Amino acid sequence: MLKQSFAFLLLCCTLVSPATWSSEEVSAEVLLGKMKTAFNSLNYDLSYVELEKGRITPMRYSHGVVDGVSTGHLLSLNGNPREYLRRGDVTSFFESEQQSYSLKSVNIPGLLFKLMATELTGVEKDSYEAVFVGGRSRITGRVSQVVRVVPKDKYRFGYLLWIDMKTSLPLRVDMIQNSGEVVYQIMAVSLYQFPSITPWIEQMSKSKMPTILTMRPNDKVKESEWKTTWLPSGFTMVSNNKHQVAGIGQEVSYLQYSDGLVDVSVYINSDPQSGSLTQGLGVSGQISLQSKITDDVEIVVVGEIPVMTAKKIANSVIRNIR
Amino acid sequence: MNTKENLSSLIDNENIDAALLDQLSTDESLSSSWQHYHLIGDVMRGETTDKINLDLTQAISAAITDEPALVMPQAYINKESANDNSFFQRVIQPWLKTGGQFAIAASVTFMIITGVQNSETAEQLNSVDSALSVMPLAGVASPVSLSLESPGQTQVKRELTDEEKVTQIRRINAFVLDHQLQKRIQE
Repeated sequence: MLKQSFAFLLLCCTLVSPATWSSEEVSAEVLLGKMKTAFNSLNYDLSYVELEKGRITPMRYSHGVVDGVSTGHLLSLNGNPREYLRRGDVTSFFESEQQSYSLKSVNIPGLLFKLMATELTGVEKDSYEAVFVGGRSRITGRVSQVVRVVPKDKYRFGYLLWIDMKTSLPLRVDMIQNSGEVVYQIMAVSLYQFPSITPWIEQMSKSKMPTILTMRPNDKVKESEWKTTWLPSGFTMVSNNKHQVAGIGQEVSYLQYSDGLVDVSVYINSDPQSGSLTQGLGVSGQISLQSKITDDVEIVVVGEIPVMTAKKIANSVIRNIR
Repeated sequence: MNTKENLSSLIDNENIDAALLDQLSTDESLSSSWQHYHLIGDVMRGETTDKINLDLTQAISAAITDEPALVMPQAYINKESANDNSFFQRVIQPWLKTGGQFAIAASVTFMIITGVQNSETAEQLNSVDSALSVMPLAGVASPVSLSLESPGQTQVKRELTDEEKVTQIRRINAFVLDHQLQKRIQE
């Protein structure tokens, strides 16, 4: 009996809620806009975990606005520390593997920061569509609203974003495959908002940043010997060069494409005799890798795209006949 | 030995001893017994794959430590000016010199090789399967494993040796690392 009445209550809620929500006219675009503004304008400490393939990586991001300059500091909490400090349009990288350095006009690496800096549903690049899911969800003890970012084709990942009602900050991000599988997840565990900048951010704003490195292009080639004949719509070429890949010591032709949110790297190694990946090797997760060997050429596609897309791109690579 | 008995009951969830757990994390021989006991259990329950890989992680880390550092041709280094503050000079080049082994060591467990899907059916089967596992944490701790099929000879499966697997994983990591570095220097 109790069970029945509960079921009835649930049914009522499901029937009623869409109507009540539509009357509020919450637009997904507006919510996403508010989230991006909040991310770069509030004073807060956001701790979260990154979940991928059973691996949990805890991170802490502190942000504040010092004299009008947005200052953010990201720190990995377990194992070898990795730290990233962004002040305005300069980001410094502190990684245990090598000397620290700064780069101009780049963001802190990682999906979360890319999402917060990208116009997802702009007119020009309409690869994604934002949909307000409705309902409220509780994440890290806070009430949030859910927005779905749906790709317009099956060749890229979609996203679910949980946005805090009070601060508009992101509390959870799911990166979803077409099949519904979550390939990567960012989940907040604590969020503190402060009325003014914290001592930590103040300290960060005063610390000396490492030298800014110039982005000297390696060996720019005017037109690559190679091209892809298929890419999901919205992907454009952002890089085209030849460079040596660290760790394998071979020079490869390199093409990079982006849809504004994710990137695809295409490597063409014309000397597979001196080392190559096994034909058809694949890796998946947030990053997919696919290898292909044809005409004595090794093609490797790496990117934040589903395996199927990487495979399709690899199969489309041909010699650029001028 | 008494500890071994305790270990066995720990595996059977009979006796959870905090002190033993501590010991397990520090004592190498004890932790290898722990691995073996689990393996024995897996074999008895028929949960192992055809070919048991005793310790691939050890093989990988050993191979990485043994990897000789790449030596850059001296002439090439001299061409670069001492005060060159380019991304290439400061970030890419040190990695070229070390063969990228630090970064690769750090990310070795990160990439999980899925093998190949050659036919449409395989792809479809896989998507059904993955639709069931909604959480990224479901089915935790996937081991680093390789299964390979070459198109045209799908019937004949060739097992890679451990050494080949290590080379392949290292190469995969090199490409993934390069992809991540290239992302940073986009304009």
